[in-house]
Amino acid sequence: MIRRSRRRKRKHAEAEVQLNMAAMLDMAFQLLAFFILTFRASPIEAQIALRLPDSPQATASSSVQIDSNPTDPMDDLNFPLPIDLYSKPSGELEKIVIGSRVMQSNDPAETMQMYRQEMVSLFENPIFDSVVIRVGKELYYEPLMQVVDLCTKQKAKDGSPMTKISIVPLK
Amino acid sequence: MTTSHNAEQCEPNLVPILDMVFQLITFFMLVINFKAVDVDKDLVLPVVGAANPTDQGDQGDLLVINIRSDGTVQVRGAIQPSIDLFLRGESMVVAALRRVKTGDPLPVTAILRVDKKVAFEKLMQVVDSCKANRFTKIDFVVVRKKEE
Repeated sequence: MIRRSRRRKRKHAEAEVQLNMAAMLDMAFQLLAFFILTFRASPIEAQIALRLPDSPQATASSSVQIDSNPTDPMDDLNFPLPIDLYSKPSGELEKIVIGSRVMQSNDPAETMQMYRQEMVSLFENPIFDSVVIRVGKELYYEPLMQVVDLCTKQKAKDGSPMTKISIVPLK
Repeated sequence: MTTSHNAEQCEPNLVPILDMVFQLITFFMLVINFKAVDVDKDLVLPVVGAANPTDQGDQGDLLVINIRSDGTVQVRGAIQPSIDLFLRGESMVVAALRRVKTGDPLPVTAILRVDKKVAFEKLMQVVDSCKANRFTKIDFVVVRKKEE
């Protein structure tokens, strides 16, 4: 009896615990497949900050201001550069008018190129401290943002980046 | 001799491959976007160059408003038939929770994700609704183009 029990104990001590890796690997691959299939790389998004006037009396209705300094009131637009954006009925950009200069082409991309060149020459010696963009009500959002984008790249009269940009509907 | 050779089993070492798979899983878990319900992936955002990279450091709470090309407005994964009504309710809730005085701007940034083919008129309707309901901090989301 004693001999038998000793033999059993020796057998028990020799047995090794083995993890079943295959099952774990199976599960891990399933998780991996799920994450790979649901993964969708998003494009690099950015934001253009906008500040609305606190009181509705400060400005005309339906106007917004892109401004990095929230303490400046909206009425501080001393010497603004007016930019008018006209739209086709389809919503595409028809023409851009800066003062007496008209930039118009059948191709909206070409109009935008003309606008870029005009802005470069206008801001070579900056004399404006703000920009007022008047927008046709049917104009698409994209050309508007492209125009705003180019304005934010310019420098104001005091050499600081152009941040005072008003957007109002074209009447 | 032959019998003992056959009895030997060749077992691959699965530990390194398991290691690698867990690393990949960790990577995908970290990059997964849990805010996907706020974001309408069908929108085609305009591409511009100078916008600042998204930095949500000091924006407080965010309210993501998606405007599709057909003019429908989607917030938190649901189409809102009246954005003005929705913002009014949201404004009352935020004002009550944050104890904001009547007339003061709300400490919430409205993130406007607008399709590139949305008309300016529609955009201004939403912006006016934001303004009327004291959401005075608004960010427009665009796609950044690499500077040439």
